[in-house]
Amino acid sequence: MRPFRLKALAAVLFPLLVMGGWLAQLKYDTETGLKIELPIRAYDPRDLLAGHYLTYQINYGDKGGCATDDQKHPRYNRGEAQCQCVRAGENPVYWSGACSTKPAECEYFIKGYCGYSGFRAGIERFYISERLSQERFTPGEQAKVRLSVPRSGRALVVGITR
Amino acid sequence: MLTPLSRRLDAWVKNGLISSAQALSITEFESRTGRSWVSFGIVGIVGIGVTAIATGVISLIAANWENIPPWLKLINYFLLQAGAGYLFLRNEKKEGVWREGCLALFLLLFLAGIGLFAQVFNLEGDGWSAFAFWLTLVLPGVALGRHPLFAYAWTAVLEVTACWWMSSGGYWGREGWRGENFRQMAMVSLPLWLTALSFWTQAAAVLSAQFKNAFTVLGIGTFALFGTVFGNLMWDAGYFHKYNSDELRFLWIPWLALLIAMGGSLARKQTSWNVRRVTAGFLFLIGIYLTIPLLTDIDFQSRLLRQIIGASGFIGIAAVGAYLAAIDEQKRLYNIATQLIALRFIVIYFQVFGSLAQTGVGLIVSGLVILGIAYFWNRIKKTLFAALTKKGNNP
Repeated sequence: MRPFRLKALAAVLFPLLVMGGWLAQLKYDTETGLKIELPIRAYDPRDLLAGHYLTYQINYGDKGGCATDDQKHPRYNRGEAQCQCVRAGENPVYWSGACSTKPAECEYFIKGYCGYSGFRAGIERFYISERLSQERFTPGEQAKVRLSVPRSGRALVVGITR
Repeated sequence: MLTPLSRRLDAWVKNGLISSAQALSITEFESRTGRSWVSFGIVGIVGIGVTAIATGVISLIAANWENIPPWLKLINYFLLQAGAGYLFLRNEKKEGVWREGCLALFLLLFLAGIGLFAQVFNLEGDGWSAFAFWLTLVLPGVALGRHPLFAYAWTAVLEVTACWWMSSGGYWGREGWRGENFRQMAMVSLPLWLTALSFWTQAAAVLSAQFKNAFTVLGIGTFALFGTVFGNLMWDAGYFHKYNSDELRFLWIPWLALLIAMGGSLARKQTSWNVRRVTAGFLFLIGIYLTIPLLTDIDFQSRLLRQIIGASGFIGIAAVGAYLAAIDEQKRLYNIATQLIALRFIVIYFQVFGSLAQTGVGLIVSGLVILGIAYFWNRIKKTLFAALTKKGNNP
């Protein structure tokens, strides 16, 4: 007699393997992606149910290609994927626009969309420790976010330079 | 100490309802099928103990959270998750609370895991995507749950996630409206798709009985409860169609779902013809009630007339629901539907004489009206149920 029913074993192993695979992919993307730093602004420390974290906006310049024609307001459009082509160096962002029109040489890019506050790519949050949050963690004027950008375009936050 | 079951059996034997031999057979059957009658007092004390230990462990981890390296957190999470999975596998062939508890722990821990990953890797999402991922991950496990709560909880979270998905997509954004409107209509029709799925799979072993029940109850329940309330608000406001001309381009999606659900209801050969056609009619009525204020101008220049038609529609649908519950001998559903009617009458009173409630005499009159409605509803519900079922069962 089998110790476990096959169905039950599959129901237990399937989600465990998916979580394991997700962790492996996140670790791989963090380790192998292109490392860049981008300036941040408009910090907002949060301490709600989600824990201690900091939300901020990344300064891509020119609203990350999400500005309206009058350049005053961001252009909202969730329906179209927006890309920021990046490279190693001082000013990493060298091209912004719709992903469908990105140049052929754009090997590393951050994929996102045009939100109400400009370009958003799900990298506008950084978890901080309870100790730091008690000390009113506020990044300085020159604060930058350290990112790892894999070829898939799903950038990951590695840290914050104050 | 007498258990609740044995106490009740003794009372039944004393009153001549069952014989001593039958009482013995029932006791033997209950002990054989493994349903233990654990005292609530013991469960309460054990519950307090377990909660105290769990709170202590959580507090200890939370207080030292920042000192625990991320890799250690992840390893511990996987050990805990795998441990819960192993515990469930060990008890999978057994019956009872322990098996279901292990499964629930195993499935809920995945939510904690998703949250931990988000924290360690600073991930940010729409919120709904985390729940959609969790729903997919745990679906095979939920299918193994023997308690109906698993299927009901999964379906309820699915419906909430769908609402979240719709609202987080920038529904009010001016651009990309086609996608947003498609999204809105797909979400609105989800309860109907669930109902249709449960009806169409009645004869086939595609879904477990628990999922079929959960899909039917939560599908029709959500559509009826939220649909009628929202429909009544639209009738009351009377101006919805003016602002929805573009959005209604995808109205065919919920209507397609509605027609498929109605067809599914009519095709259920296991159920009596009466129940099938009343279910189909019930769904159709709600669909019509919701669609009219979206498509036509119901600005009658008189708010009172709109309110009367809206309230009549609401009460009419609830009455059909009560009738359906009665002919299917669903006492609880019948009670809910008739309570909704009574509640709506109270709302009507406040809509018409709301200003009176600001005075002392008005409040007394309002209280008397509410008590009168409750008394009237209580008096007629049993008679009506008996008349509808023609069996004389008291709800």
